[in-house]
Amino acid sequence: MTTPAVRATDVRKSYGKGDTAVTALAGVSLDVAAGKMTAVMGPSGSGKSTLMHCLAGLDSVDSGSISIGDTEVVGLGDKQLTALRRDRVGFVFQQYNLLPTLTAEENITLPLDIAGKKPDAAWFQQVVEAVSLGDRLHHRPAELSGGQQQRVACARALVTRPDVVFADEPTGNLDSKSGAEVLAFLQRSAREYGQTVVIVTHDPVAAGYADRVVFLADGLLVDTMEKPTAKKVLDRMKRFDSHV
Amino acid sequence: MLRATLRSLLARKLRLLLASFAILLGVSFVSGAFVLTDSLSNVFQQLFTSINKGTAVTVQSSSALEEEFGEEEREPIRQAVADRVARVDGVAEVLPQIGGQATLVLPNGKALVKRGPPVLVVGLKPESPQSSLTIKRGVMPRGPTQVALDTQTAAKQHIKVGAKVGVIGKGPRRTMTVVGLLGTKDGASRGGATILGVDQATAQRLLDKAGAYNELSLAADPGVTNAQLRDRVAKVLPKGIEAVTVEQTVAKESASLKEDLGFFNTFLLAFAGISLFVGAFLIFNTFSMLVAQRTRELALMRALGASRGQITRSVVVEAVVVGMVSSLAGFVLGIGLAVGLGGVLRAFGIELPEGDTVVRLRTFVVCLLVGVVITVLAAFIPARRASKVSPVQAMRESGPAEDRSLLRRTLIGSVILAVGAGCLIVGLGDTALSDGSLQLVGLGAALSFIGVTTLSPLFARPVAGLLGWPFARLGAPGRLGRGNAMRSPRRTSATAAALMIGLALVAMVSTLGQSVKESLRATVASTLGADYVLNSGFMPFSPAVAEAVKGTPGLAAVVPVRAGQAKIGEAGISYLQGIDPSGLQQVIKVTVLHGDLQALTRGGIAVSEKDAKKLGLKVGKQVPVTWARTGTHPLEVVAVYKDNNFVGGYLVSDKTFDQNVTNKDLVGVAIKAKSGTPPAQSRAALEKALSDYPNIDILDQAELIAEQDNEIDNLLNAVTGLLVLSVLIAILGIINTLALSVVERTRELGLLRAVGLQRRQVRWMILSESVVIAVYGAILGILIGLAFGWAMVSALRDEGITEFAVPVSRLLIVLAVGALGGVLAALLPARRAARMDVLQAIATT
Repeated sequence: MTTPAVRATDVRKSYGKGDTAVTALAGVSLDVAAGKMTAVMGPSGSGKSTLMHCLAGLDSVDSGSISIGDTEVVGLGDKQLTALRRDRVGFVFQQYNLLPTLTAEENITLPLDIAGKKPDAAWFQQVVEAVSLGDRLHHRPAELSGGQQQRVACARALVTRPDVVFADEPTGNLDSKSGAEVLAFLQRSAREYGQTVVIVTHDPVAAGYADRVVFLADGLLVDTMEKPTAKKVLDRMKRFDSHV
Repeated sequence: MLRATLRSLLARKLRLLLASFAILLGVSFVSGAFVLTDSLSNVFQQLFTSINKGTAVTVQSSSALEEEFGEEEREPIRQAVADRVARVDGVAEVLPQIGGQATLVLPNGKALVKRGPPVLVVGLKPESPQSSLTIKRGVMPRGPTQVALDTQTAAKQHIKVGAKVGVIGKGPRRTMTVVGLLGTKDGASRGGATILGVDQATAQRLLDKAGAYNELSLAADPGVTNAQLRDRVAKVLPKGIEAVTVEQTVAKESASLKEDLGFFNTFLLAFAGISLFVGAFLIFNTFSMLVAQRTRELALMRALGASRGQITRSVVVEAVVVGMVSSLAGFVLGIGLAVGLGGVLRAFGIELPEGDTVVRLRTFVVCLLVGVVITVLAAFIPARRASKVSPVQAMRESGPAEDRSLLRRTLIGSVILAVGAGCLIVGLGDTALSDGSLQLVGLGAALSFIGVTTLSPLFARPVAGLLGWPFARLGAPGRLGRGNAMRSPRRTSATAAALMIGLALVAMVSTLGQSVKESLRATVASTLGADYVLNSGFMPFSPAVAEAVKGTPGLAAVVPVRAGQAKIGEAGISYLQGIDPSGLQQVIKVTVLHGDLQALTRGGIAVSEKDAKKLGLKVGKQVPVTWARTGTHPLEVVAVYKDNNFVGGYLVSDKTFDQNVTNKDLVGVAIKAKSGTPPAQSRAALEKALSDYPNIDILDQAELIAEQDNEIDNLLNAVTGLLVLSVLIAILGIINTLALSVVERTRELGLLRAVGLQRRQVRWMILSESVVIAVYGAILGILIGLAFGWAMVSALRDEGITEFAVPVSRLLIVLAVGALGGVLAALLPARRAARMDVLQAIATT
């Protein structure tokens, strides 16, 4: 097996100090396989969002190590972290993914613009076609539907060919049809372009699109599931509920 | 409701802080202006009291002109009158006063140059109980070569007892020894004047008033009232000499002081008004943004049953509190500013006497009133807008309201601008510059600013796009900054407008100044035939200077110029010049339209075309002229000439002038060298002839122009210095807008940081936005300034400002200052934006 796209080793993270300290991650070790779509699942408060933030270089950890490709993330300064996010990580957030002053096209190429790079025209075309936004490129976010906005965000995440795309509840604010389109696109980007994708979700249906699901509870990785389906994930999740 | 208002006020105190700072600064200017003038008034009142201590009645020559001309305009009083008055029953003492302006030549050979308080030669009689001066160190000066200097000047110029100085009165320079230092008996300030104390005979000689005095101060015997003494003395006085009580003198002096200081106060208050006007824009802006941000909160209140009136009132109450707090702080700051303002004026060469700081209750009341009223007025439109929020908006997602009809804005803005321009044109059309027309000009300017501000959102987007182009070229952060400057044209315009006002006024005075310079240049080129002009800054100087020069070899003509005031026909008090017509055409080219200038030698008056038209005068007609000394005589109009800046409106011969005016001091001497004399040679000859007069400058045409340019620049700098405050307030406004924008756009900033915008790039983004807004304001300001300047120059065409000139370099500086203001304004908001925590920013909804 090839080297993992993202590797976390014994990552610990807690908020606050002393008695009021809350442990978010209590020693998580995880390998994210390159070219696959991985879903991180768990009930609220399980630490799945914190894990994603730490993996993506948005948040610091107390101990442990995280590497993206062959770069150790822990210990990097703000400047290197920012450059890392810009060049090697793609993001899709739950909402407010786009800048209102920029057109769809400008939003897509934003990370490249920031880096002062020219987009690869062929790749750009391919990504734009894949998210079916061809006729909407010159519209501003306010003129796009929620689903279209999320697809613009997906295209932006992919346009830099990052090591990994992190999607945090990407379908949380969408109706099921739009959500399915976004998830199908993320799945295809892994399968067709070999794009590593990590999606954080609490929706079994969303997790069903992934190649692998990891389950988090109380800041610990408690289970993994290869080749999941929505039903299998749902069953697994029900066991959490009965445990708690 | 009140409690909810105050709560929300406290919650947003930081955002209001900057806005209230604007009012604070404006009010401090108001407070400073009042405190400064009150303090000055106090100094002068003390000076009057000090000077008049022990004096009951003053005997002086009467003046046919009501206007105050100062000491020297009155005919001197002869010794015989003093002797006669001394014998009047009830006169305890006669203190003859002799004094006048002079020039002090410092030990280094240079003349002491001062603006403001004069240099005075005073004949001392310290043993008199009425004398306010006394020797603090050394001895009393006696004889023609001894002088005592006031302690302040001595300290400032490092002159010690025993030093040799020169004194130039009406005659040539006399070298004198400083034998003592002078102070006032009661320690009162001398109002900043430099005093050269000599014995009375020496003062008479220096001032060319042998055996005569300016006036007599009389002390009364016990039991004799001032009025009784005045009436008794009046009986023995010859015609043309009058007695007035000290009460009359003080009342007259106070009235003229009040008028002068009132003018000064109004001048300062005009700048305070400009600052407050800019501050009002800031308040308006801040409240608009706050109301827009609070749409949901306000809608919730409406949903919970608050009426529209209550909502409006809640915003107005907020404004009252903000206005009150900032006015109070401004009032206090102004007391400090008064001291600083004096310093600023001093730095520009306008010397003010020092004294106690006077804070009156009136100052406090005015500050509080002005601050609160302006804040509430500025907040009123946002308050009304707040009341229009409907309860459903509480449930809606959308943030700040979208742009409303542009048509309405265009209409309203155009109407306001048109009315403003109308007021300006009508106001400027009245060349008499009465109070009413000045107020009209002010109103017109204010309305024009409001009109332009109303209209400017229409072109803010394209202009900001254009101005942001260089930033956009530099990369994504610049492009984003430009986009932010363009996204809310109303906010960009309102913010830029504040900067526009101050810079427009700077651009206007610069344009006016440049036009005056160019006009002077043109006048010199077209009408000045003289090779040299002698002057002493703006001080008149002794006629002996012309005599000293007259015999100099290599000169073709030496023409002394006298200037004075007289009442001419219906024109009221006017300036007129006295020049010997025989040499005139050689030094000043006067185009005679009718009559003959040479006829002036037989008496008579020549009038400029403009004034002849105004008074309906023609050659051969008689015009009554009232002189201060000799009263009213008719003079025949002997010539009408084309308007000429050097000659002015009215011209008489030197002889006519001397017959009617006491003060024979010159304002200038125009000199024509013999053709063929090398300039170096004629100048060397002049310098030699004037070696005893270091107070006199020898200026050729180029130097004359340079000197005038310098004077105008000084004035421009002083006015610009006073406008700096309004520019500072405008920069606060930009900071405020940016800070609010940064808060509003927290989520966007978080996203940008997440997808890889470096902190440095965040700062650059905010900076680009700031500079685009500021430069937009600067450009609007420059355009309006040019328009105002053009309007003023057109209005002043008849006053000799014939050229309209654009001060390119100064306008470029204005533009650069605008851009720099943008950079400064961006510093704090950019820092705040760059430091924002990415995760928290993304989580913000």
